Amino acid sequence: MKSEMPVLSAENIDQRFASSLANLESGEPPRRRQAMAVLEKMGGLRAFQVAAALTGDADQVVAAAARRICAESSKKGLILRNPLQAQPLAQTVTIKSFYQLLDEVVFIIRRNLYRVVLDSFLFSIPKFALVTVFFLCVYSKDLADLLTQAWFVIPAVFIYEIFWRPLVWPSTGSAFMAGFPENSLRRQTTKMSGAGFYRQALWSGLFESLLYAVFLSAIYAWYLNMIRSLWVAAVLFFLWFLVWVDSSRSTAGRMLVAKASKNLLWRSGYVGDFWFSIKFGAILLCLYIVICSSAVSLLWMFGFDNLLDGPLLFIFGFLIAADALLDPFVTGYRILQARLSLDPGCL
Amino acid sequence: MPQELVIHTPENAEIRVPLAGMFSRATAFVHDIALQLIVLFVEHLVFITFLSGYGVGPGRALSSGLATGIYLIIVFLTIFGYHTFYELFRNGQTPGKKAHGLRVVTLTGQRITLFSSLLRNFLRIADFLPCLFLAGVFSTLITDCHQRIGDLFAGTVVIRTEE
Repeated sequence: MKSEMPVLSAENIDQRFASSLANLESGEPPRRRQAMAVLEKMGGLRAFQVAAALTGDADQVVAAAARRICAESSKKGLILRNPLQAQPLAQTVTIKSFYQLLDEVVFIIRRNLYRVVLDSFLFSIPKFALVTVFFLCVYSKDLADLLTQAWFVIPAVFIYEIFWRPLVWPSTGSAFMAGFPENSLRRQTTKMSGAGFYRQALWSGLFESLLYAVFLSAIYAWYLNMIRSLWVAAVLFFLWFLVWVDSSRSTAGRMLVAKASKNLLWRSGYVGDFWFSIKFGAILLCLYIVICSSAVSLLWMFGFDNLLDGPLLFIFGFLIAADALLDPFVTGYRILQARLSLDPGCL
Repeated sequence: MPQELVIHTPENAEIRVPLAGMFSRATAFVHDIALQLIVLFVEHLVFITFLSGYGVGPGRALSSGLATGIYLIIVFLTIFGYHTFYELFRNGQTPGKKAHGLRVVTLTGQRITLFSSLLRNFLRIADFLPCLFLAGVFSTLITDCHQRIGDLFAGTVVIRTEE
């Protein structure tokens, strides 16, 4: 009986070569070593070209595999007319603490600062409009009356949270991802657009959006004395926070997954650690305090202190403005956290 | 991948050092503030004990006004001299920076000088404006080497050490 050898089609070889290149571009040693093993098995001119550029790689396993491929190719008579120059690998430093993780979010934002700020500003226009309305209430009684109409404000909050928030992910999120050092993730941003992605973002974040909208409406209702005590809002906030810890990451994870067929699989790491979320909440609280107190100080310094005697609604105005400014940071943190926790097979 | 300070040596070699981010720096600062508060509390206790028990008051060796003056100088030195002392004598590392693996160096990677240290620490007041270090945060965000206003004037940066 004849044994049949599996024959690889040209298309399969192309796919394996492309995935090997993507793995080589990643910063993870196991993936890069696996890619070299695939190239070594594949052989040929293309593998030779890639290997020639990696003989001086910082990872000794990758460099040794590259030298073996070059030696084998030379034996077969392959010659490179223009030897490729190895690109120096980006220096990596281990993230050792939670604060270094937050630093990394800022570093990534800075690499694409202009687009992150622009996208974040464009998609925060509803928030800034709302803040403007709040501050104009001092001068216009009609506006002040409008903001006390629950039939107007609560539906607006729900529409914003459910239908507008999913637009922020592909805009600010993709601007953030474009600052990643990994090419494979930067390429992923090209897929994050269109109605298909909007539907995905809408569904994956729906539960969180609903709870957040309910929470905001509860605070508003408390302000209007519809709810006499704040405990209902506190309970809703706690519920939202618990859900935020786990389910909300599905949107961030969905953005990173290159292979649609792969199910999301979380590794132990940053995700699942409840204390990380508590710490992040505390950091956010500090940032809100810094921004709000600075805004109050600036108003006072420039002689707009009459605005500070406005109604309680003003505090919400400051909070919403701070929220708009912190949005790219929160989005970036959640994407990076998902990136660090995601099963590498999904990427 | 952290952002880096690139230092060129006279031998034309290139040394890359990872820069510290604002959250690590803020945590180290809070650490130092906590230590300063403990020191100030101890100084206050010593001052009260000294004032009530020993040679202070009318007709004594030291008038209470002079004692208060000395106390205020000590408080001033504790608040403003703490960072300078450690940066000069502990190789650019205050206890908070050491705990979080940070170090202050000049833009050329050398040890910080007395003038640079005094300048960067006095300009903390400018970084604090308008409230709670917003100017410092903003400056760290937009400058190439993550420098706050004090660092910009003193020509210093905060780097991450791998110790």
